[in-house]
Amino acid sequence: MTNVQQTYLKIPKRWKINLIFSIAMLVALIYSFAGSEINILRLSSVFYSFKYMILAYTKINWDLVLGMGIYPFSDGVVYMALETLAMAFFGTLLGGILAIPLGFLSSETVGGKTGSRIGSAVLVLIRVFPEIILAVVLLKGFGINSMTCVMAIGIHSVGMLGKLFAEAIDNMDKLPLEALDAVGANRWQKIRFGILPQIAADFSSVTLYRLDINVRSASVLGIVAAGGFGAMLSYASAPENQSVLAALMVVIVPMILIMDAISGYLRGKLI
Amino acid sequence: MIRFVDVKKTYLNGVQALKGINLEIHDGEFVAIIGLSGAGKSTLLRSINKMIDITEGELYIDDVEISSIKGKELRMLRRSIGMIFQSFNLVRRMSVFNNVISGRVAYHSTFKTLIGRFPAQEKILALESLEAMGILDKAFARADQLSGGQQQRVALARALTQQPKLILADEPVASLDPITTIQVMDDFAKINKEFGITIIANMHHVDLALKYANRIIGVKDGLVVFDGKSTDITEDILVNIYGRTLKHDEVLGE
Repeated sequence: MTNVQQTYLKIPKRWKINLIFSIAMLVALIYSFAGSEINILRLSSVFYSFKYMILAYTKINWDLVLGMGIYPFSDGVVYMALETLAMAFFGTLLGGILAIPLGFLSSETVGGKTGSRIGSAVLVLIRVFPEIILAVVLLKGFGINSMTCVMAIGIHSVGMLGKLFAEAIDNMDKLPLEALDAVGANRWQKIRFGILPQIAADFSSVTLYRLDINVRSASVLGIVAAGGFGAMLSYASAPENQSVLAALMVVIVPMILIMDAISGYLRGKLI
Repeated sequence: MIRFVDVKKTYLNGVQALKGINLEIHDGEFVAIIGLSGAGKSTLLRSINKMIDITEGELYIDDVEISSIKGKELRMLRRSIGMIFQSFNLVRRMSVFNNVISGRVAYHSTFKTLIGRFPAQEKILALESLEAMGILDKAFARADQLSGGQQQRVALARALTQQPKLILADEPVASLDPITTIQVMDDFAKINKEFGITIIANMHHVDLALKYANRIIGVKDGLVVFDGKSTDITEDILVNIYGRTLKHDEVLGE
């Protein structure tokens, strides 16, 4: 047998593994189909929902949107939007600040093997709590107000920001640190002149992206912890309050679109 | 003056990079270290500013034995020795000026450097170093906007700003094209002559080493096999250092 023929026989045969995976996927599909009460015939209900939404746009209560007429400004949807943006902003700021020391600790470059294990474990612990659960927990301490939302957003953001900060630190160019060692810089001077200038843009970019996400979560977090659109969102689910739903949509949708555009533009500038 | 007394270095993986080096390098010399890859050139060079710690022997800089110093004392030693690297080792996202002024950090307290405050005369010194390297007009450009040759000059300006008595260069022109190589080597010659700074460089190209250095140290298998004037180098000596004659494409050519 020639070498080519021998090697030919060694070409990996994947069909067994592929078959097992295919069967597993099929079983999971059937199980989830049965479990989640999906009914093909009811899919058309989507059209009903859309009709409800589009119809709502014909019933916009502009007084409620802007907080005019019988509604005080602080009851208007625009005011709630401003409150939502404020909550998202402070939550992101809190998360960003807390994430810096944790990010440095979790990176192997600064924290070493031990620091990186400890830091990563803390970050994982933070990440496993969904924001809404955090908000429910924090409710007991902070009470029903927007500070609960800010804290929930802030703490949850640390999990993602810290991890991405650590990745940015570990992915940066290490050679300048060698040069700083050679000029006699100490640890803090190496961070200041070797690390910070390299990661500042990444940090800002990641934090802006998180702000973008946090505006979305701040919009719904109020349902459990008050603040922002919270109370009005639960109110809007009743069929007779279609105009409230309309007032919310006419503000939330452009707010998120604009936020998305601004953060995207700024992040583009940073790289 | 730098003095090696029976210096040996064995790495943790058992590789014996230096097998007993005895050398004296005097102030103001321009020394080129030549030899095959893996001969111990880089280890020899880096042991001088303790980027690599030697395992045996004694190493004196100005009659101070350095193999046991550490911490602040080590940083004080390093601030008086400039170092140039094959890949420049600049912070690419930082301005040229900030890269150059970072050569001064070891002269100041941590706090002052953290807030980025340097005395006016040191900022002037940084700009003068850039001017000496002919790239003053790039002072506020980001380092990554510069060509390779310009980046190596920024690295030289950073070293000059340290006001060193000695500059170590580890393959300083290995990632540059032939024309830029000549320009950067001319800068080294200028620094050696005009500033009186000792230069020790690992060189890949023998003809460059012969052209620019006054003294050649040939390293083979962890030992010094030649030490003398560059004018004394003969074909036979090169055969001894490299184990065979150099082919035409292994020298830079004129």
